[in-house]
Amino acid sequence: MRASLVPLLALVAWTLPACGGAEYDLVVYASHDQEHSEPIIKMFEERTGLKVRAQYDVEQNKTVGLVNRLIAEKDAPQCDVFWNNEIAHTIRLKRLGLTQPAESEATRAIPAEFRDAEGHWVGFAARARVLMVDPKQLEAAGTSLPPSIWEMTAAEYAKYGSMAQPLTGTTLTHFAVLSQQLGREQVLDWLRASRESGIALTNGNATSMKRVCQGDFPWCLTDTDDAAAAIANGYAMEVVYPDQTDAVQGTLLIPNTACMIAGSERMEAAQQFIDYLVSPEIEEYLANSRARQIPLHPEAKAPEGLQLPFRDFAVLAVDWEAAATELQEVEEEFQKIFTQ
Amino acid sequence: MPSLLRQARVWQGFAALLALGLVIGPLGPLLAAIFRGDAFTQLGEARVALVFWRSVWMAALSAGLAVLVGLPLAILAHRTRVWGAELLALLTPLTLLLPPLLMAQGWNGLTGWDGLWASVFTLGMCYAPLPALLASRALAVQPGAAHESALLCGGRRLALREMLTTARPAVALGGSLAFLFSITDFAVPDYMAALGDTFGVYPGHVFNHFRDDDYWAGARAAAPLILLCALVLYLGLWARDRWSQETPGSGRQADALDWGRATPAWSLLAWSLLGLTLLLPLGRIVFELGVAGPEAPGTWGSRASESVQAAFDRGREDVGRSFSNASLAGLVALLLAPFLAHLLASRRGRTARLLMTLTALPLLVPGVGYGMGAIAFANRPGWSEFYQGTGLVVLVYAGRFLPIAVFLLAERFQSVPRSRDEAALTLGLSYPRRLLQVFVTPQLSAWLLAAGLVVVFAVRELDLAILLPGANQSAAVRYFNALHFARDGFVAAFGLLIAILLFLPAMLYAAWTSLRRRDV
Amino acid sequence: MSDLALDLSGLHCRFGDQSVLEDFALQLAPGERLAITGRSGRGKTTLLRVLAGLQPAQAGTLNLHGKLAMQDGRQLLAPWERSLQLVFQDLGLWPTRTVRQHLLDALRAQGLRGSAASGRADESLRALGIASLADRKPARLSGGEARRVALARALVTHPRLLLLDEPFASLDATSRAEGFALLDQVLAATDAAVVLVTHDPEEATRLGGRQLSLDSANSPS
Repeated sequence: MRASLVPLLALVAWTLPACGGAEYDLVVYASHDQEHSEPIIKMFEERTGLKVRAQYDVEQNKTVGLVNRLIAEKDAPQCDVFWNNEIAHTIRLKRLGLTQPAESEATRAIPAEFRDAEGHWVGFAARARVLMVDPKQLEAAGTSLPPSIWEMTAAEYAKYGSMAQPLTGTTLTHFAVLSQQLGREQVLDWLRASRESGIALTNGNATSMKRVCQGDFPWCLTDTDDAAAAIANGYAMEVVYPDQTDAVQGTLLIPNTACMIAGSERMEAAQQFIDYLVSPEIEEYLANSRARQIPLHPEAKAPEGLQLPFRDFAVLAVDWEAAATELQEVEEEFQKIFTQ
Repeated sequence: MPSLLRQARVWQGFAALLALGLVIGPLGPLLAAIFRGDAFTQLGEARVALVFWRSVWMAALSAGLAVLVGLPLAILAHRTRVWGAELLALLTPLTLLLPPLLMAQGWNGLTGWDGLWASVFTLGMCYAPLPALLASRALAVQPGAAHESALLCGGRRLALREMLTTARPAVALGGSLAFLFSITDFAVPDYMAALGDTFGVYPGHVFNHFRDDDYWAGARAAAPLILLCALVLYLGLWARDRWSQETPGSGRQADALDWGRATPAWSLLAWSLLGLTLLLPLGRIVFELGVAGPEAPGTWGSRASESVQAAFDRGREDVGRSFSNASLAGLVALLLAPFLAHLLASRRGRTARLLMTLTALPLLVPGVGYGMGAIAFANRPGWSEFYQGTGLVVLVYAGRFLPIAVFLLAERFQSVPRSRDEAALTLGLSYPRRLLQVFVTPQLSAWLLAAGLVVVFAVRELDLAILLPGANQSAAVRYFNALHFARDGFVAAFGLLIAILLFLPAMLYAAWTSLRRRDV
Repeated sequence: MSDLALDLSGLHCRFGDQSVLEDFALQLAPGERLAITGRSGRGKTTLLRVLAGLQPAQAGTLNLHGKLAMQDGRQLLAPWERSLQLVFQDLGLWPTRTVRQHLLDALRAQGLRGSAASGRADESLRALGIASLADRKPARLSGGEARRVALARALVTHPRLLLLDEPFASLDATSRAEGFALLDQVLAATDAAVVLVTHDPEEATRLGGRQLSLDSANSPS
């Protein structure tokens, strides 16, 4: 018995140091790809000497995630800065009174359409909602691409494509924006029809992207970062920006957003981190990363081959506040259509 | 006072209070939701009722499949002389270490199957080790005389029938556990529904409600599922008790059945079953290590090597933290589980079944709800250090996974002859000493295995890892983060790394028990 | 206040619908020996377990050495507070403890430690002829040796009442002869009152005291 206590004592000795608490100068919740967000946060630590506690998110496997944690923590906030890889939930947090203004010269350098008028959030490093295409498959199928996402479910296109159900992530945001701009009933009818149209409805953009890579379909509606991942993995894919004709409004851009959490006791460090995130340097870093994020800062230099909004493609103008309101209202309607 | 400390109920009561203290914060609001009348009115809505009942029959089919595969696997690996039987027995539980979503991806990649039936099949394969493990334990203690007399009277056929009868109670419980895990899984049906024909399951309804700002909406949505799970577990325990029979025997264990000339055929069947539950999807995951598009640079081998290197470099510290937190939770289980297990083992019939069902509640509730409950409980002014620290993580993990350790130990404690305990009782040994001497020390390997299982489940846990500050920088979060961002090679390599590390203690345990057997 | 070693009255024991002991009474003077015989299922073991405080009864009062141990079927004294020991039919040895540790554990529970405990344990081991087995664990003992260890463990605490539950059941003829010799040794070594339950009349006679058959008295037909 005594001999068997040895491994137990060793276990205690190994695990006890983990119990020690640590002091932090800043707490950041980051829902961006950990492979990119982690080195960016570490770089910030090295430069400023501040100790950052980073918390990362997961959207796969259907968890609730950091947004709900921020809401659950509202009575005793722990987080100083939330780095969200999309925008809708950031506005939701603002509406719940969980953010506070964090404006500076650096944030004001971002174009006004990508930051909050009251300074509660600022956008940077965006993704575009695009069609990812396998040209070989498209040619073999003898078909062409839908010029607008509205035509994806038309009989001549639907069976060749795939899109994620608009229940989570950027697809939910995308259809909420469309619902707000074009009318809720029209969008709901379109989504209902999509189920019967023959288009492959998946659980996420990454799945759609993978199915195109596997050769299941010639194209899919996805985000630029997913398309970039496919290309980085050695698949010969092309990215097409939809809705570029005069008749339709342009491609949707969904930026990363940064906001300062209300009740933060480390406001100075929080502002410093937000300024760092929206700097041209970080935008360039993310543009050069595998995710190929689209820089929004006018001074940020885009790598060769990366198309820039306004310059290379038309951008859908969005009233993000109104879109966020719409999202909250239509989310359950979307669930009713797809959760059956 | 000394007399009081000799009382089992004092110690067990204290342990039960401590265990209750671990879980009451996270669990309380979820359980309270069950007693709110409106929790069940949602089932009156046709859409909700449809997905609820679909989830029930899908989980029932998965559980049936798990039994159909798990039971023969247990018999072949543990009680017959098939080729590599020991290795088969060792590898069977490995499936439980892999996230079901990874298995689903493996199966889809291999076969292209998708939709509802693919979900039923995948979950059946994922949880086949549960009936297999419980059945193998029951088969291991089948008295030699019973087996040999069956062999003499009716040959292999009767011997196999006797094995099935012996394993039946354990299979009933294993099947109900497979049902519980299948019906609460959302990732696999969601994945398969997205690839093929769309269908919804009830955990999706629960998940969608937990995303609302109103915590109660999630708790209310979860209530029918929690109650159903508790009911199924109770029925599983009831079936186990009803079918259990005391078989008089000398204590000599039954020998393995020789298949004679049919050995190759049965061996092939056994390895095929393991192929379904583990080897084929695992093979696909290994293949994913270096898979890339036609224009990717390098060979499969060079890309696989890069993936493994990246998994090791980037994930090393997270894996260390995960194991450290999980080990502390295992340590708490190590201390508390024997008292609670003894409490359960000393009860019989309905009381025991009710106690076991109550004990299992922390496992039956959705992880998301448990984590949100923990935040509501521990994130309060003045508690920041505790809330941010490892202490909370350890306590929450220990509370959630303690039932696994308690169940395993209770089952072992039940097999201890009553006279050993009563001899200690009449001699006046103190209760802790009695527990240690009569129950724990003779079952030392089971005690360590129980804590080991807590470690395994804590390392695998994702929902709590995202929601608890001290648990966030973990292997689970890094793994699923990479999965979401489609880093296939890294995901495969990191998944394998975690599985190997989780499997290592099981291998050491197997080696150690084998050495101990030789000692005796 | 009675000075009997054991004074039991009005005992009712039932398992479900089946009554095992009905209005059973029993008295035993200090140092007295009683053999209780009866076929299987007559409640012999149940009676011993009730006396030892290991299970309650539906009704009955029990005094042990003048102390009220059970009233209305409810056990008032814990098993270790009764100054008795029970030798179980399957012995109940602890698999991870050596023979000597079995005895030392029993003595430690009574507050005896150190050299005093060691001395007394060695004395008991010698008395029962198992001193050479002191460092063995139960798995390495023969059936007869294990039986001696169980008796030694019970006797080392100097109980005032010794309960023996079929100590020689299922032994072959040679082992039974050895068993009887051992019983003689045990009886010589203790002045405790002894209750032995057995289904074997020869064993009952060998005890040399009063005999009571549960087949004929206080039990259902």
